Amino acid sequence: MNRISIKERVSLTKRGFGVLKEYCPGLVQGKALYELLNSLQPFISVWFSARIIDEIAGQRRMAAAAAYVTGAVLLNFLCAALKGIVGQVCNKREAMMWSWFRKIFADKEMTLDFEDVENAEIQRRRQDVEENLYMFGNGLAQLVWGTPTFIRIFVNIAASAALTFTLFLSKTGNRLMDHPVWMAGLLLGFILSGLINSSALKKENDIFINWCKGTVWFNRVFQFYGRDLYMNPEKAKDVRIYKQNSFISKIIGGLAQKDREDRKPNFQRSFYPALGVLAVGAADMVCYLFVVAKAFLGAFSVGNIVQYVAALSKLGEGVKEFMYMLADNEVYCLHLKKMFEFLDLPNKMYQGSLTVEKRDDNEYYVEFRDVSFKYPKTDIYALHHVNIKFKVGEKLAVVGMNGSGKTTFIKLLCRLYDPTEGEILLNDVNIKKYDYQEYMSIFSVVFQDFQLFSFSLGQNVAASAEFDREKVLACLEKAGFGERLESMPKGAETSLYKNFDSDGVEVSGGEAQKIALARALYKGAPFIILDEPTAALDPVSEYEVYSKFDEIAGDRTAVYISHRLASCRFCDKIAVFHEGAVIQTGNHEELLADTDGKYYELWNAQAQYYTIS
Amino acid sequence: MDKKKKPSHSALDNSLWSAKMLMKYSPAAFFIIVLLIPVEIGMQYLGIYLPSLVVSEVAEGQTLEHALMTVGLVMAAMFAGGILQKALNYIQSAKLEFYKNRLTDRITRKKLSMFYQDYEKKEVRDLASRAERATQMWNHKLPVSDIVTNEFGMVKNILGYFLFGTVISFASPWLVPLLTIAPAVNLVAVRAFNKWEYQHRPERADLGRRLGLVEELPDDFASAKDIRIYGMSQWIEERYRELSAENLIWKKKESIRRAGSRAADLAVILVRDGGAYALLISMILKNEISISQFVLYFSAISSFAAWVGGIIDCWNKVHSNSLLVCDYRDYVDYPDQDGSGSAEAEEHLSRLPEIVFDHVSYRYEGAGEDTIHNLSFTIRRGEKLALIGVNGAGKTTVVKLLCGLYRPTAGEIRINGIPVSDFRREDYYLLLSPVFQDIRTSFLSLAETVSGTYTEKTDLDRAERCIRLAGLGEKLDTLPQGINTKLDKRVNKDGTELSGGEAQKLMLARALYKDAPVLVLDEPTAALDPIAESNIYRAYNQMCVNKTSLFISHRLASTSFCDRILLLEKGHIREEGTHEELMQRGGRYKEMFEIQSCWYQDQNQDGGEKGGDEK
Repeated sequence: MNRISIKERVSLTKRGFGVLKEYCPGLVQGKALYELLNSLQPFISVWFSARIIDEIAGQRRMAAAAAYVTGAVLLNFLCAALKGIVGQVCNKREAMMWSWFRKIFADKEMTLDFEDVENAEIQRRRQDVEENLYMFGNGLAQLVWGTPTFIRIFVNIAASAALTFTLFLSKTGNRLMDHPVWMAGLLLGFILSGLINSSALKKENDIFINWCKGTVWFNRVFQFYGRDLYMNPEKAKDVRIYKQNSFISKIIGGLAQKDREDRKPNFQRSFYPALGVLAVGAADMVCYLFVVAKAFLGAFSVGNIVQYVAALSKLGEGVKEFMYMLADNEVYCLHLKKMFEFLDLPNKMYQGSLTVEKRDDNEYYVEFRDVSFKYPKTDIYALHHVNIKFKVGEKLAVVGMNGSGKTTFIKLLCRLYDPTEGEILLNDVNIKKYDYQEYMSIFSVVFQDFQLFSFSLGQNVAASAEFDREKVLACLEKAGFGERLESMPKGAETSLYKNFDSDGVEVSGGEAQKIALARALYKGAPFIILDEPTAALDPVSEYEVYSKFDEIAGDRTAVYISHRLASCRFCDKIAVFHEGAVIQTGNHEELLADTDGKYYELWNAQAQYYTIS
Repeated sequence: MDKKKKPSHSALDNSLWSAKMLMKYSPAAFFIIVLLIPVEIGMQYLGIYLPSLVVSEVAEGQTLEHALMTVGLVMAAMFAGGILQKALNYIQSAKLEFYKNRLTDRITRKKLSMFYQDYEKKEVRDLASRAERATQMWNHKLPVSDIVTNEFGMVKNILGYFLFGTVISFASPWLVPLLTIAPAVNLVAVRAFNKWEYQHRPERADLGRRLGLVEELPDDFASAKDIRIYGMSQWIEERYRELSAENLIWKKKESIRRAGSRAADLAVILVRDGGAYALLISMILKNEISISQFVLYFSAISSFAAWVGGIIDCWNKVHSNSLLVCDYRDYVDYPDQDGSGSAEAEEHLSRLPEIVFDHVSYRYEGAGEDTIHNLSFTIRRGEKLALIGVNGAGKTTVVKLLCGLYRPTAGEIRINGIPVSDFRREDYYLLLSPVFQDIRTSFLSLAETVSGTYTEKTDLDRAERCIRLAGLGEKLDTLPQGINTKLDKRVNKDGTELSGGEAQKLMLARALYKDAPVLVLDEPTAALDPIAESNIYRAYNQMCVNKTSLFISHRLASTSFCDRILLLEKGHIREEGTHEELMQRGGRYKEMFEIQSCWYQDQNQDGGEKGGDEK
């Protein structure tokens, strides 16, 4: 395992606190204040008790004793009351802490380059960090919990040192006992025992880190069948009918067995803290016996005995915890480091600054100039020397077999990925040179795997919290959703799905597709791209979309991807993709005339079933 | 939720239950927990005894050797106890983890086997998510094992209470009731809080789930594209803020109430400390006790409160965890409805089945009208039936009914004359090979996905044959580990991801591998290209040998190779017959077919005729 340098630990910690300050305001401060009160409180009792005992064992002045008692009781009460108030504020914030943590990851995920979103390696890393955080609090939560621990250690060591200081200064008259070497010796003893303790804990931590690794994977698989299954009732059907349940149970049983074996380190782990206890205990013991011996020689009063004994045990605790913290901070630093590695993922895509000219006439030209593309970490070209140019207002149909590169083509056009070779031009300028958000704004896309969210219908169409009601209704109407809309209880305010709102409505796949289409229309971008928009539609709805396509697209440039070759009939131009290349372009009649061409083959594969005999 | 909801099991019941479970799944943990009780109490006692011992040795004129000896002995005992405690704690937490996993396992099994119609209900899924929380480590808290540690913690604190109470009663017998009554007031307040918390549990769980959904949105591959293209991040952010604010209000209410419930504690501190000091000082003045006794009693009194507090705290935690354990038990014990019949699937496996829908109606819970209404039809032995209809006509509901995932609200479905409800559900599933519209694959290998069992138990040749028959042969050839390639890159490092079309083919392969007498395909070609689609159509006859089959599709081409067509509209049958019959009738079917085929007609006589010839 590679160790992290002290300097790096400090900077990681600083940054960690910075993140906490931004996302969890007031949490750490509140917890620190609480712990300050909490750890000071016992010392109040210790000091006052010693004074009271001194008083009753000595002069027995009632007034003084009463004053000490009142002081002790009131201070104790005050402390408890303050703790109550601070604790209440803290509880509230701490309860929100996990949600705030998730926000940190969600924020980054939304701004990540799309390439990284699809990168399994990066996603696995993110998942790893998040799971460690949520399950064990590794990383940020350790920082939140560690701050009060730090305060407690500080208070314990400082206050007990203050209360035992006089132990070493007091004189017995015995030269041997009064020698200052005792003070140095005891201090050294504490440090030595602390060191033994900390190295024991380091060993323990190494085992713990390894164990976390295994457990996280275990939990992921668990989660897949636990949470995932609960989130997706669709999956539950197959599980039942294909008897996957018994199979999965067995897999999980096997995992549990493995998990059990994994626990062996846990038993090893138990040895190390015990060793630590032994070391610290020995140092403590020497201290106590020293107190006893000195007390015997009459160096101090009975009250002080009580004070020293109580304070020394706190000192021992403090030293032990301090050493633990020294070992523990490496664990949280390691996890923080992993988290920052994810949060620091750069946006590698070149971000241009050109604004996209807003044109009323929608005169936008797009050209693919010799574009080739490989997905990251693959050797196969998903697209190979693609050259294509769209005219303004043209309706382009893209057809081809599964895996021929159609969807990749769209991803490049929308700049979710940048080409590996070649360039894509908008109005003769490389699209990389435009401001990314601006460039995005000229496209309306309905992806094959589009997603609707469980918010209101209107918000879904507008893709924002605010929406123009009239426009939403008009777009839904245009997308063929009008009839269904009338049956919706709250119109555009109706929630989709029941996840969020038990009054929400379930929409079928076909209806969802229409809503997604309405969303594309609402955006009103000059380019409209439809990827299999009718896959889930019945023949009647499909016909409506086809026949209204001109109206839907208007004067916009449209790209229509479909396995339903009927769509080629109402497009001006067809591009046939095959194995990552554009092998044919032209209109339907031209392409069909080439009886050796791919288009002819595709068309007939489908058309043969639709002859009315 | 205005109805007062009472937990389904009392805290005592849940405590006993969880102790029983612990004994069953991890007896070692049980014994360690019991063993730890005397160790911990002993440590506490030595802790208060030590200062008083030192004082008495010093003040009561013992020799230095004697003093060092006794104090050393007591301390040695404490360290031995400390080491033992630490070691046992570690072993205990490991054992508890194992116990937790066994309980999680039960939840998973339940989820996997529960009747689908119940499973689909929102309230049941909510219950499941709450039950799950009981078994998940979250914020270092784990309800199913916390209830155990706290119930034993309660035992420990009660024993400690008696031990320290005995010590204190030597000073003054009536100190004990005084010190006990005050915190008891606290208990009442705390119980009121717990009750309030439970009553609002469903709303809070619901809010938590919604917040969770929003937080997870950006993690999804598919959403990621839409979020970027439509610039949705602001929208999601706003929703997050709204929900987060709503959540904060709850947390605020909760913590104010919690703080209120603890207010009694404060009063106790004043009374306890003041009273104890006054009493002990007056006793020492009257020479009734020595200084060392004063030290012992005073620390006993201060830590006595810790025992009482410990009892309350454990009681509290037992109660709050008990609520989650209730959810857990409610879910695990959720009645398994339907499917307890006595019919055996065995004899039907080798027969060509006949399926009858006899006046079947189905209404979704809470819906105003039937989705399927009084539907009657028969699928004859070995028949290939096509089911078509517009979106929302009820086709998918018919599939779910046929597959035994739903139980009809009225009427009966029979297979070979035996009502579906007479079969054990698991048994009935043996008769079916469905391919559903919504495809989800998991992280298993191709072979495992297809066979539904371990690779060793899979007939690999048959699996490969089925994969090829489903049209996935080409893809298979490109995979270096072939049929053993695992899916899902997120779980398996060297896994592969399938496209929508490929996943659809894999699901078809799975159905073929199972080779059950009833084959049900719900839109199996939606994501396929024309050639792949055509290949499936061609292979369909081969797939249906010795099977009764149902084919659902919006692609009316599919009707040409089916024996009979049912046209479903608004939950009942509108038309029925062969392609030719229905075309001649000139009804709805003809209209739909013409609508879809019009794009493939005219102008292209060339293509059309050739295609026709092939057919």
